[in-house]
Amino acid sequence: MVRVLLRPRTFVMAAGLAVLIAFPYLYRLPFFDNYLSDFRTFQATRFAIWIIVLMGLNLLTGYSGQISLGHAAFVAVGAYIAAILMKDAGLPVFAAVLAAALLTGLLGFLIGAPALRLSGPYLAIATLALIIVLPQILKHPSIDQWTGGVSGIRISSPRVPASMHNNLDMNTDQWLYYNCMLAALIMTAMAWSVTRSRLGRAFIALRDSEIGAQQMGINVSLYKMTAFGLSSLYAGAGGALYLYQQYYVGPTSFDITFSLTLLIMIVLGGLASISGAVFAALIFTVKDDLTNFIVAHIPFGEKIGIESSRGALFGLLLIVSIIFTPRGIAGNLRKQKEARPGGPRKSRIAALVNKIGLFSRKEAQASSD
Amino acid sequence: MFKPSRLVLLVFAAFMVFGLSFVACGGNDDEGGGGGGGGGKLPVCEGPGCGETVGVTDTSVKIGTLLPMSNTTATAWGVPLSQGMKAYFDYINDNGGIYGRKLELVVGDSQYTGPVASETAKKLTEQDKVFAFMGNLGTEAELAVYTYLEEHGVPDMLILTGDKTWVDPVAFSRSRFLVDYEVEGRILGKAIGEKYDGKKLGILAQNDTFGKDGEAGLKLGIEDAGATMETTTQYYDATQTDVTAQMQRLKADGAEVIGFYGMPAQASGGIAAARTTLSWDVPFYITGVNAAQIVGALAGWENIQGTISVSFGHQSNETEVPGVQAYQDISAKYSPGTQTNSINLTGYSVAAAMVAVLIQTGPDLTRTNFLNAAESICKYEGQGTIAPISMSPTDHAWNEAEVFVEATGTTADTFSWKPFGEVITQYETTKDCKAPTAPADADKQPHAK
Repeated sequence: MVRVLLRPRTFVMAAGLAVLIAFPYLYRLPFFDNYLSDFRTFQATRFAIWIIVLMGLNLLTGYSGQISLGHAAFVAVGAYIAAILMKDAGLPVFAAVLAAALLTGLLGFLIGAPALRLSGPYLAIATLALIIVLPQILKHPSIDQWTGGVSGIRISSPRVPASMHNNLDMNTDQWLYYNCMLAALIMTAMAWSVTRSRLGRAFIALRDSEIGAQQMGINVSLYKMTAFGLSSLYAGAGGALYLYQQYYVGPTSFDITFSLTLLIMIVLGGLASISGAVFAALIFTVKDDLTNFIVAHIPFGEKIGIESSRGALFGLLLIVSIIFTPRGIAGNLRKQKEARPGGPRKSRIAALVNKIGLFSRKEAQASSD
Repeated sequence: MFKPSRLVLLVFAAFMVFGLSFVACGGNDDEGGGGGGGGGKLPVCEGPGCGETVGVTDTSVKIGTLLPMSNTTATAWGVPLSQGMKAYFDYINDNGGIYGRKLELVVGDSQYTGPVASETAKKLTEQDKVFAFMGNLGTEAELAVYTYLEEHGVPDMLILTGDKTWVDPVAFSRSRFLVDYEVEGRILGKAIGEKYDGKKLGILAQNDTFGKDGEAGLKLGIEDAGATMETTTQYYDATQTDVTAQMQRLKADGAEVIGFYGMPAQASGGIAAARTTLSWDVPFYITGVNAAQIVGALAGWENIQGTISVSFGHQSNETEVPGVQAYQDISAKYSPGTQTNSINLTGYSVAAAMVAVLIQTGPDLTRTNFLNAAESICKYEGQGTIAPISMSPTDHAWNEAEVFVEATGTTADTFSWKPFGEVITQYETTKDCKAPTAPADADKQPHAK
């Protein structure tokens, strides 16, 4: 026990936790006030929400190797369930978030059934259909008394509880931050434990070789559905927390672009890795700030019409980062670690990259050898 | 079957504890405040971005706008709108600003979606500390930000969508620039009813508040005309750009005239499909947002001939109107190389209306003074508008008049949406008003004639 406490890793984690706890109050100190503010706290809250969503997507795509282009559909479902529960059933926020996560997880588990028959590009197409049909389902007249039809659902804006406000001088942005960050920490710990359990190992076996996994006695269909359900649970929790922060959700709040961006982010961050999802969430949170910064600071930008080319600029950044970090940020950090004399560990990334087909088979094989 | 590991259970237990803390703290239950915008007072608001004189100095005032600047809608809407706004502000600044204050435009990228718009609105309010917003575009984006802006007491002016949410109920800090979608549909519907009484109307509507309001308006308009017409409706989703299938069904249902409530991509596609694929010369009545050059170009100049639409403003090529001539001159000088079109002119008109309110406010610029001045606007004849605009504490809608336009001209150079008939002003809510006393130096402030 003492040994565990003395590990350098424990110190790093404790320091990280301290930063996370102090973060929303830091801007009230000199020096930090130049860089931080309630708006940055708001962004950090979004960051926490995206961690949850992307963590779930990584369990599905990174660990169990199933590609979902329609993951945003589950985020939307989670947000809608939470909104209905809070508004119509008057449930407290926590209960609504938990129920939304569990119900979305269940829905994902059931929708995961087609995943039994489909794989690779066919599964991707099926999940793409999800995000395309969802707005139409939400707007369907038979359920629009709950979903609000085309206008969506608005709940009352979140407010910091009076006790927190009086005793800790906490404002609503800070209150939201602590709630979402706590949820993100818990969900991250859960993902960590899952990936290191029997379940996680089964996912990886499934991804690397379905036939091999079957040989080992893994119930392929059950585990595929579980992966779908688990990642939907994460998406649902993220969606519910998003609703709590945003207090509005509409049928087109999460569109197909959002859905595809999630997948791009997870590849950039690093597939099949916990830290990969965190990096992915970080990029997702700052990507607009980053492009805006470049647009504002690029020389002769105005002459080449940079204002109207932000999308192209973002695309360019994507290409550049895929060239320089083909395994995602987390993957490349791990690669550097492996190159050290301590001796390499077996790489799971290469096998996955191979499976997704981002590179030619030869290249992928070479890097996995 | 797998067994959940001990850690998973532990984590679930932690989640429950987290939940209990929520319940103990009262969660989200204590409501109150919020939404209390009416009655000439701003809500109580504490924190960054709150206050009467945020974004105002003796020499400058910061104005924000939420426009799509980085996705497919950027080129069609965000860029021309922002260029129009900027051209007018540059012109004002070049002539000394308003009461010595230079106007600083902060363009925020909404990407036309709720999640991005809400983050950008918060950034502009709390980081950039803008005094007010103007010309926020898109219903979906505005839905995600309007309560936030209202609760923070930030003026949310001249909203560029015709949804009724913005003005009904009226909020002190908010006003809408575009004509109500339902009113617009009603005007089109009346014209259809008068001309095609007894025939069958096919409605093609976008499946959102925009399309549904328009559909309701079309039906009301037919009643207004005292006509009896059978209707058949087809919907499409905004993400769907090809509406050939819907056109086919309308034809199969025996529609004899089409009322279209949707965006330019689908309007032009629908018209082209009817004329070429279906060889169907059915008359089209399309919503005002489509009265733009681009729709003619995409549908094909020949195909769109005779299509009727409405417009709340003058066309950008009606240079015989002094306001439009001024727009052409100012654009040429302050925004060289920009193509002048109706979207660009709309951005310019929004900026001009904003300046008119700033002039009426006087040198003592606070949010309350500014919003009171906005409510006192009486018979404003702005750049590009077709009828005088009046506001009141109960009427926060700017444009409420329309004029019919018809697609004419079969080449790119000759094509235009030609206005015809009387300007329809019956839906102006504020019928009579008293011109407010102008501040002392109001007539010395620059503004385009």
